[in-house]
Amino acid sequence: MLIYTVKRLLLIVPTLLAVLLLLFSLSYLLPGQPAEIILGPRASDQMIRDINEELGLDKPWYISFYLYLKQIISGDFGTSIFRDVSVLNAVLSVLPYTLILTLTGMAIAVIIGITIGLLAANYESTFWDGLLGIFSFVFASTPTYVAAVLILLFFSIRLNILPVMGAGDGGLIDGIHHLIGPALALSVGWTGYIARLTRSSMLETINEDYINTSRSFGLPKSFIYYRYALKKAVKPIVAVIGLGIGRLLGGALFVEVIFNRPGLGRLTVDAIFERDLPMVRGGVLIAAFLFIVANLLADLSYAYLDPRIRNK
Amino acid sequence: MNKKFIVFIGVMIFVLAFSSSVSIAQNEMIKVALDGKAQTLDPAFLQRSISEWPIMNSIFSGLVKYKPGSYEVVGDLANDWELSDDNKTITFYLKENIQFHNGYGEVTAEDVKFSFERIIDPEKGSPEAESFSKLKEVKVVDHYTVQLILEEPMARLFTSTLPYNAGLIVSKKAVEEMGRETFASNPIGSGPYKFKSWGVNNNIKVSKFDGYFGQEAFIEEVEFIPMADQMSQELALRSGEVDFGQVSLENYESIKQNESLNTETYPDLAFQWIGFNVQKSPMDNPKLREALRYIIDPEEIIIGVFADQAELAYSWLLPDMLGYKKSPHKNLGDVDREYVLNLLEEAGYPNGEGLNLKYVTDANQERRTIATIVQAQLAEFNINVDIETMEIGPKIEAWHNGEYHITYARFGNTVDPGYNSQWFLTRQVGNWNLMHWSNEDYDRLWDKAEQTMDNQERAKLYQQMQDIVDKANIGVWVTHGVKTPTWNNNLEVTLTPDGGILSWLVKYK
Repeated sequence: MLIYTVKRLLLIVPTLLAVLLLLFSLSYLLPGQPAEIILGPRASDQMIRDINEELGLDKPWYISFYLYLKQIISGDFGTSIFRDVSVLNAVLSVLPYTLILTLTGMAIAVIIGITIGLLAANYESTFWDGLLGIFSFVFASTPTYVAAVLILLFFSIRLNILPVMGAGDGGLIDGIHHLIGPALALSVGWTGYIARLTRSSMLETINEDYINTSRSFGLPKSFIYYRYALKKAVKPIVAVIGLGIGRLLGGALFVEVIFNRPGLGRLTVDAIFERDLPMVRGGVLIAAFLFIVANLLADLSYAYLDPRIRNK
Repeated sequence: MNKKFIVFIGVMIFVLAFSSSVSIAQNEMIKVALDGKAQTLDPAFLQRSISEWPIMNSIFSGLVKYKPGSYEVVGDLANDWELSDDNKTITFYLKENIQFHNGYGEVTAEDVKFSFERIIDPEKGSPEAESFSKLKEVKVVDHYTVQLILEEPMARLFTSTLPYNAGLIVSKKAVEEMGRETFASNPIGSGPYKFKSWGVNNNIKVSKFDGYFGQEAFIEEVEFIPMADQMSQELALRSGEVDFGQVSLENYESIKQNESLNTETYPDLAFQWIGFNVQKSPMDNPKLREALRYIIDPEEIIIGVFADQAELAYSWLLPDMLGYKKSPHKNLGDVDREYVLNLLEEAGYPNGEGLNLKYVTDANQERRTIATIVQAQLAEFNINVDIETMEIGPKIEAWHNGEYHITYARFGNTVDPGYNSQWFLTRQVGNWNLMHWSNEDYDRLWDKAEQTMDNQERAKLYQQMQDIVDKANIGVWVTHGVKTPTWNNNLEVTLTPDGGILSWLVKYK
């Protein structure tokens, strides 16, 4: 297990390097002068030169890349080109919002998804199974931004019980109040997906020989289901949670923009529109890092649950 | 276990419902939605100044300002001013005893000198340098008297430079103490509101400045919230979480029915037009351009894209701008179809056949729809239009290089006719003259107008320029755009002529 963990940890470095390289080539491939895009007709030649110099666009890409790497290793992510705000501070100040949103979204998806999946498996091929199937199918195919708008319209405008925007002005209750809508919107797609996965995985498991054997021993159904079958059926779900966190990070972008919440996705999107390259690089780098860590955790937990992988 | 859970959920719902009703009952604060986030609050280094203006004019004062609700220029920090006979020296007399926020002392001539000279210093690279292009130096005469020394008379100074962003006065002491970078996020001015906080969501709060020299603000605190997504703004307005914002044109009518909101349309301070690149063959043929002016009907764009809420434009200048002259559109209804077909034939395209034109535009939905309307109109005359949508970077490059026959653009954002007219100058060809059109008379008139301080005379020059452009058939004016300021019904607001909020004049009914 230890060797496996170390191996997976070491893989992070080349992955991050590749992300950085890609980001770098993008800023060179982007057409147009950043200064002109930012300032329009007001950009003088001097300003175009200044901003290109600030962004390292005046040097060959490999020199700028080397300088940037050196900078990153020393913990300096640069500053925004507009204000004296360190990119790292800006990212760190919004990161908790995105993490809480993503984790809450995932938690909701797992709890509701597994419940629906188990119910559907329990009532296999009945009316209820069909109904739940339709629900999970609709959930799984609803894009996050559609879910976000529907939740806003229903809970915030019609019922007026959830706030429309922001993350609250402090205070735990206010924070939770502001989190419900965005987290629900974010979770919808994965709720459906996890429900369908749970159902099929559960059905596959309960038809296996060892379950039939347990049945023949006369063990109670609920005991077989929740002690034996679920333990095995849950493995593919754990595996997708890691992927899911990554996907939800992407989905958080829409949710953050629509609910006007602070967060990593929104920070990065704003930076892209403003051509604030240091901010774009910092935001994407941290997002990539989170994605990798989430995948790593999923792999590790999967290995923990499945001895065949851990001992490979 | 199950019962406990249900009780827990019940309590949560109760708490949430209760807390939402508490948060609405605040009377001393308003929330204003802005279309974009502020990048800096230092007037000398503002990049675009559109989204920041409502914040800037709350925090800072200038020597002069626009009278609320109009573009008339009146004194602000300055009591009075006089021009020298050659119009190259302007002496301002400051009001006495005006204080900066947070105890940064009195506003003096030194602060004025400091504020303007940091803009014109080429070392500092201020995006506003262009606004003060003819300013040579600022001379402090005494504590309350300051002179602007110009290289040449500068008509634009009073219409758009001094009353707008570039003319705002910062506290010299504050900038020197904090440094430019810190000042950008902790601005010190002498306006009706003082800066309070810059939140993690880029929400900016300002609070009432008790020592303000003018009309004191009615509301204790204003929070400016950047909301780039139009629909979020609408929902926030409907739910009462935002007190002032903009709504989309498609929902304008339904929001007008909403009893808790007030909404109105205002003309945007800009011009949008379909430009013909006169250097790209076959558009170098004036007959062809004239034919296109007949065929393209901007009224259909107003109906199809602006929900019939925007006004048709007849010039690049707005109707209430100095020197405005209406150049009527060329309508198919005014001539018979034969006339247009003749023009096309004279240009070498009988029946329009064989004419292929490239149309470059932005990738957003609104601009695409406009392009499609123009494409359909030209197709009626067998003219083929290839629409190419581009992101902003490639589009600007295409503009500079003139890689199109037709393009669509929106320029503007100042009150000065000279500023808005500079985009058709010869020296802008290859830069921002999207028609790549050049005319010596036009250039000469523009130069003359820039130095003409007499408004009536200056107006005449712009009218002549509009005639020249009209004759050259270099494009079709579409609209000045439309703003839809929307606010909570329990508020009384005063707006700028283009529908912007003047936060310190907002009060509860």
